[in-house]
Amino acid sequence: MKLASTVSNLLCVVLFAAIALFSSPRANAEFKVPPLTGRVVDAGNVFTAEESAQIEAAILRLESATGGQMVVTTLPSLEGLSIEDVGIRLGDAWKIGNKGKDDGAILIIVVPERKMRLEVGRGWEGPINDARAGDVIRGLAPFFRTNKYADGAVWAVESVQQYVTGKEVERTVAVPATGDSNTDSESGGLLETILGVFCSIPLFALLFWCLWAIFVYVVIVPIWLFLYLIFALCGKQFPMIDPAALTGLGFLSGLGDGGGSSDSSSSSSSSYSSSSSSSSSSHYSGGGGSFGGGGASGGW
Amino acid sequence: MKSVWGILIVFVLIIISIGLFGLVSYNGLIRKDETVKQTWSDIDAQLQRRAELIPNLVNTVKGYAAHEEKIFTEVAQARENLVKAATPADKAAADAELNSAVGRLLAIAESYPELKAADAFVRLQDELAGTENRIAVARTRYNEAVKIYNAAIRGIPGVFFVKSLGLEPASFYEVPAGREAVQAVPVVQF
Repeated sequence: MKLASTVSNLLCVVLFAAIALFSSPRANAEFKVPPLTGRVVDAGNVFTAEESAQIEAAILRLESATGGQMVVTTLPSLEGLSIEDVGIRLGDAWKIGNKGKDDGAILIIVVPERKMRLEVGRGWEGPINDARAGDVIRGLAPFFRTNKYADGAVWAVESVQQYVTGKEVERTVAVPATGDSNTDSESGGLLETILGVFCSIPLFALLFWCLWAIFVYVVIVPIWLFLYLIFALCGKQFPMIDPAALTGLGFLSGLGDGGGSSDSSSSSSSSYSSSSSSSSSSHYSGGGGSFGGGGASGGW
Repeated sequence: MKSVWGILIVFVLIIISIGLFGLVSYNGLIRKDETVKQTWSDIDAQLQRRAELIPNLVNTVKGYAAHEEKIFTEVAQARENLVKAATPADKAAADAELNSAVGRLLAIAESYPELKAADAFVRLQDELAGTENRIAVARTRYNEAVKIYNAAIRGIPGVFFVKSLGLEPASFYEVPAGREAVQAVPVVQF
């Protein structure tokens, strides 16, 4: 009896400590890093499903030719930040590119603000120096001025592949002559968006998420704490988890500085939010690459 | 008897957990210190890179606007100051002055349309803008690392290790008040 009560007391203390440790509030920027759902993150609803597939195919060709990673993303707004700031936040959160080689790139297109940026990972700053990144950005302007966003993205992916491999790439899109007629590519697919929204909030998913959040904090966190201490004793570093990221609770972002994580720029928690039941996500994730701020930005 | 053993065991467990805790915070301090050093060398590398770009820029502009002597000397002087600066605060101030001088140089270049359209100049602007961004990123990371490190040294477990490790608080990379200069590197425009 006494043992049971001491164990439950201990569990309560650990639980309390864990919550206190992990819930240090950090000032959250208004800009939220969208979840990395795939090679094309169309948060700004610019591409049709076909176009996304076309861009993804181009990226897959790049991946097999170079071994690196690339993501094309559209955003609805920069939330008052500069696009360079957004670029580095996406790079830090998604970690595109392989760890150690840092061979990744992110193309960011913000249609409502008419800005774009090619963020280049540290490992690719050699083949894609700033001048070449600038060339890509300037080359995108004629595409975007005629609303050919998907074609432009494919062209950019192929250009990146060409720079990195040093070999000519077979182009699948033609550069528009200036003065092309305004081919209206449907922004998004309104019907699909509505359906997606409705299918993604069934009540049972909400309930499941609540249970999952409780499970994370009550079971996973104390066990993780324990394992972390054991590993620290052996002198190895055990990765610190971010339970806010696991449960998608954006307001509990940040980590107590218990063991000293070397990732010092983690002020925006990338929310791998609870996947909606309708998303067919083949699980894509960044390879751990890091970014140093290289690349180029522009507008159209 | 039984209760004595119980107390002994609890005592030993407490000692072990204090030891673990101490170990974890010691390692943490070392790691934070290393992070500060590493992020500082990042800034240094980017400043170096920028210092190397400047002569190219000056020469390109000279090719089209040879008589603008004054601004060339200003830029050269600011660049030398940056190379000579040592502490983070000094470097930040010298960096800001160089920024301002380069900004004025680019503003002057605006009034020479041939120069503006020259391929070499456009590419140099790309490189400059890229380096500026890299400096901004490196600076943010460094300041963040310094913040974490300084807090750790002054916090409870850290404060015991400071003497044995010989750690000192690090200084932030920011322009001292009163010496602020305008960041005037124009963004690549279309």
